Amino acid sequence: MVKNTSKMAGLRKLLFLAIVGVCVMPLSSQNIKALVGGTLIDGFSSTPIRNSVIIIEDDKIIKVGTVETLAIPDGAEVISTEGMSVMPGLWDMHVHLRINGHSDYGRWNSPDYLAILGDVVMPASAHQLLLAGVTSARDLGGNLEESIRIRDRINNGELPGPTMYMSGAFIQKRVPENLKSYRWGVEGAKDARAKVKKLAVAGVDCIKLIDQDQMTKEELDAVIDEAHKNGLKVVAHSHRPEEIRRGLEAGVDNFEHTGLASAPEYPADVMEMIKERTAQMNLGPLFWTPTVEGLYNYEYKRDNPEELDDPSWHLDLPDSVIKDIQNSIKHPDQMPYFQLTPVRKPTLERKFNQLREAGVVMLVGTDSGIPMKFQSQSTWHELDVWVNEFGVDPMYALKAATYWPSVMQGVSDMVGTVSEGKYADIIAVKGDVLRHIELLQDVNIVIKHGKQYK
Amino acid sequence: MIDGFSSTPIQNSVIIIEGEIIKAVGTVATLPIPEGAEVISTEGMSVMPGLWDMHVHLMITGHSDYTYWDKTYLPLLKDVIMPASAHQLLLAGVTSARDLGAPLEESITVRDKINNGELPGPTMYMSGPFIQKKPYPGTEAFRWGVSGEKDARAKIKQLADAGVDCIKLIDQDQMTMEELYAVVDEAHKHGLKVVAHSHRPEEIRRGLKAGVDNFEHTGLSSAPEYPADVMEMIKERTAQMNLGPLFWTPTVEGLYNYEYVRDNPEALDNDSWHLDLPDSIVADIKRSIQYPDRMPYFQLTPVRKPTLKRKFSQLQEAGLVLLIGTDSGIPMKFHSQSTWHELDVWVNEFGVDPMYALKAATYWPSVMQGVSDKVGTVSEGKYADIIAVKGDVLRHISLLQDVDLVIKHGKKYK
Repeated sequence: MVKNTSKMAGLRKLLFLAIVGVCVMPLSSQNIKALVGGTLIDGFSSTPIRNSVIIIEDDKIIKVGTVETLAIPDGAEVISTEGMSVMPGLWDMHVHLRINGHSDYGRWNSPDYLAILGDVVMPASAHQLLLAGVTSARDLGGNLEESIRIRDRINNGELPGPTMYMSGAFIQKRVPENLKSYRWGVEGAKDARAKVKKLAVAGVDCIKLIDQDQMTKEELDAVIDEAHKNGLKVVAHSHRPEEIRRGLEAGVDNFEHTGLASAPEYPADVMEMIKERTAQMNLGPLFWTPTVEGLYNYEYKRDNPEELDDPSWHLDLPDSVIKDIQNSIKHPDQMPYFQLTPVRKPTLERKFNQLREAGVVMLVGTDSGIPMKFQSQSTWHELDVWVNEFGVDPMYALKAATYWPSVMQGVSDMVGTVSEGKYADIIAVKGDVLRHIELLQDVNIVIKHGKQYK
Repeated sequence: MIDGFSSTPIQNSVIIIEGEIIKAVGTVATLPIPEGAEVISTEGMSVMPGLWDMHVHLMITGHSDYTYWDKTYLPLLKDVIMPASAHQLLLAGVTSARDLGAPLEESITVRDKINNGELPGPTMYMSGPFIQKKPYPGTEAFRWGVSGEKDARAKIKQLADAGVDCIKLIDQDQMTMEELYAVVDEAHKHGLKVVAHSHRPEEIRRGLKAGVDNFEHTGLSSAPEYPADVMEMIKERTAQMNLGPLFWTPTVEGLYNYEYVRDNPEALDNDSWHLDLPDSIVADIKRSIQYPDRMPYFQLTPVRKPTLKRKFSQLQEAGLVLLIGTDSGIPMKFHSQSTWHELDVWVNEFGVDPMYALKAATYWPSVMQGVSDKVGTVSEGKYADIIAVKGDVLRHISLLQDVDLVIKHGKKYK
């Protein structure tokens, strides 16, 4: 009874607010926010703007300036960013909303979890990413219907989450029976075209390709040609040398992972092929998402597991799921998934540098969701390893998490930078991220499309 | 949990606090939580003893013009400025601090009010006025000159009787040796340690001869390093374990970061330093630091900066015990933002082991002040002075710039 009453009261209050809302709507100043005072890194990567002012109207940035040059409109909601670094919301170019740190994929793919994928697991993942400062993300491999639905529900404002770019199902050669809900095999060129067409018609944002070294050349060419015909970029695995060789030949737009297991570096012929590709400006940049931090940090996390106890990853997950995940990662040292990682780790920096020096445009992505890698804690780690472990310029790293991803996804006219006319996807954090990139592990302000979530 | 002694951190730690005191320390697996306890989750955090800052000045707070400050604000020190400074330090995770130079009565009053629970602030250890040869004009309220051995003893006795916690000595190279010996001897007779400036080589030489317990600053202006004879004297002193460690508070970050702050002044806009200060004073300070590039105070700093690392390493290698202190309060150095910067420069710029740096801000200061049986570590029977911050401070020391939890003597302030 008590519950019902309060619910009714809540409902009445909501109706009342809705009516008031309608009454005051004409005063456009009600929808104006001003972010005032902080140092702005706008995403283009020139000198940060001191004492910045950003004016947001509804979901768009309408002006960017400084306290001296830009007047704050009357009635604007002023949000102080004094003492903070302000920047575009981060992109994570490689996430998996369908998983959330559980170490046993077999258990996770059981009917129990498939049943709650679309309504519980994926929404929780998206919400956690958003509160970590990720306002755009690319999901590379999930169940088609759930993928489209969650993306659209976020875009409609029904669910809190980043603007999602979804690949839907993996496209690959062969698929074990129990994985068919999110991995599609192709058999012959015609079937390849039909599968890609099906994804395109359903409305995916890109095609995720893996194991392309097992396909026939006809199948592979068909996948890429059909994707490009439908205006979709192709994002491919690059764990094996032959995946890279054949992917480059066929015209893949973006490779994922650093790959090559414990081999010390990319072979010379692969490097030659990559440079031949990056030399052709007319084809646009060759993008590469190295996703190094999960591998790089495994031993650290195994020995310093405090972060796994941070409750940020519990958000929106039922207690039973949290417990199940906790049980599965109780022994980080015993997971078969990571046994080879200590042998792979020392090769990462060399491979990372080979790619950079070959002229690829690197993107920040994390494989968020894999064992012990929670959506709430993934993205900043990748930036941290690039900058603090590999010595990458912090401005370069931030551009790889803001501007370049928006170019890759073909939406740089709408997002990726803090500039006039773009969607207001903005984060801010106390302190100087160009000196201490690790401050991004706990952002203070998250605004997506003009709405403040944190 | 990093307990301050600097062995392996304790994972899944449990700390039981009763009243003001730490009752028990253990882990989730070994230590049951008493019924009815208020549970404060530190999951995902680094937990450690509250920080010490061994060199602060509560009487100043970032204003760039000392002459103007002394003329204008001395009457407000006790009731406004020093309480604000103390509160800001506490919320920055500093639960103990040593003030090295301020008017006597104000120093004692503010310390006691904090200890009585009337004001929020760190447990303060106060030197009261500077002891020196001649006070600079206009600074007599907080700088006492000594003339002759007898006067030196009388001044120290006056400070001791008033209840100071140590003696702050500067310009000792301008005193006669008799005056200097009298200062140190009288201080030690009253159980007070002597903390001395070391900006000039002769300050160090004469300080060592007279038996100073703790030197402050890296000093020596733009000279590239400490001269060989000074280093020999320091090593002669550190070789004598029976005298206890020779402590040194290098206070490097203000100098090291000046150019950075000048070019990236966003931290100056962080309003954490406005806390408890009236708008008029905030505006006055802001005006005074409007042009960080024009301050006379810092013009030589870019020439001094490259020498800091060398001098710091010389001191470290000579076997000193280094302490974290910052000169908090000097121009553009606000109490709310000082202490973590020193740790950051040691670890991220000079390559000091983070555990060593944290020990220099927790355990060692408590030894220097003779209170290691009561504070400085998270261990049974100590006062519950504890801070916590999300993330791993041993990997990312800079996280200390915004601590999540501050507990002093069992009371949670943040």
